Amino acid sequence: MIEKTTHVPIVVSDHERALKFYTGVLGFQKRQDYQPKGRPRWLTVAPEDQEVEFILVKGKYTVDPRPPAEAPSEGNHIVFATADCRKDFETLTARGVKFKDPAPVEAPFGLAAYFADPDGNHLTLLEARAPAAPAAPAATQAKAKRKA
Amino acid sequence: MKVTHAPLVVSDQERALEFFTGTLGFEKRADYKQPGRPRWLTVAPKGQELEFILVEGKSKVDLGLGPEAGTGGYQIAFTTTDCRKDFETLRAKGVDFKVGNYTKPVKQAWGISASFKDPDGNQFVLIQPNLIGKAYTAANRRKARRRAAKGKRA
Repeated sequence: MIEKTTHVPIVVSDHERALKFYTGVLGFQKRQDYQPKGRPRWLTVAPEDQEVEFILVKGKYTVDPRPPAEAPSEGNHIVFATADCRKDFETLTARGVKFKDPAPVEAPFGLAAYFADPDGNHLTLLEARAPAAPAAPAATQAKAKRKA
Repeated sequence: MKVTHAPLVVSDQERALEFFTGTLGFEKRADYKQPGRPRWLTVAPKGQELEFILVEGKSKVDLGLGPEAGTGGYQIAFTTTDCRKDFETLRAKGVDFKVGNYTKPVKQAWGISASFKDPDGNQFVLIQPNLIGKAYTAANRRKARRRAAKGKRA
């Protein structure tokens, strides 16, 4: 049985630049970095204490599904939950992130801040309104709780 | 900050939904349509917080690698309790396990893995880590925590 997701890819054109952005600017941890013989460099990052790691995959889109970096993502984005969107907005702006809007945006589902990484991958910070973060159905959560 | 959603580009949302829920056994989590916006459709393995957004579109990525590289790291990875059994089950349901030169589960130093594709060619890996694989992941997380703690003190 499939248990859970452990890795999600992010396509980047330059490993070092992406690593600098995800660790230096967003404050993620570098988790794995090795160069298997004859294989691409395996480089992963993740927010502190998050199990799911992002694989920074070196490549380029020959058919690009992503809207331009400054445009709305139209659903093609990675979403991060945050406890304080305004504070993160300030912190990341100070570190050079250019958000798409001059301030976090009030949306029906919460307070959102939209930006993109140096390769134009869309990222969203979301301070969700209660109930926090789109949750699993109650039955599933209860089951997960019993298991834990 | 923690990740709650990641995109998965598909050419047909209905077909993808059928694949992820019907074939892989994921749950449908969200499905709504705001006027003038694309349909917001998400799926996730049972009990997992991270949801995949099935975004309609076309996507192709060039990694500059040959078929011997398999997925080349361009993959969503899942852990499983029994890779060979999942392989048999999913193959019987018609899942495409031909990824580069690979067609079946492979024994690695850290466990057993099998790569497959969804109907749109998005690449996935099923990983059944052995004790070495589990220890390695745990060690990496400890190291990352230590590095982070050091950075905060500095």
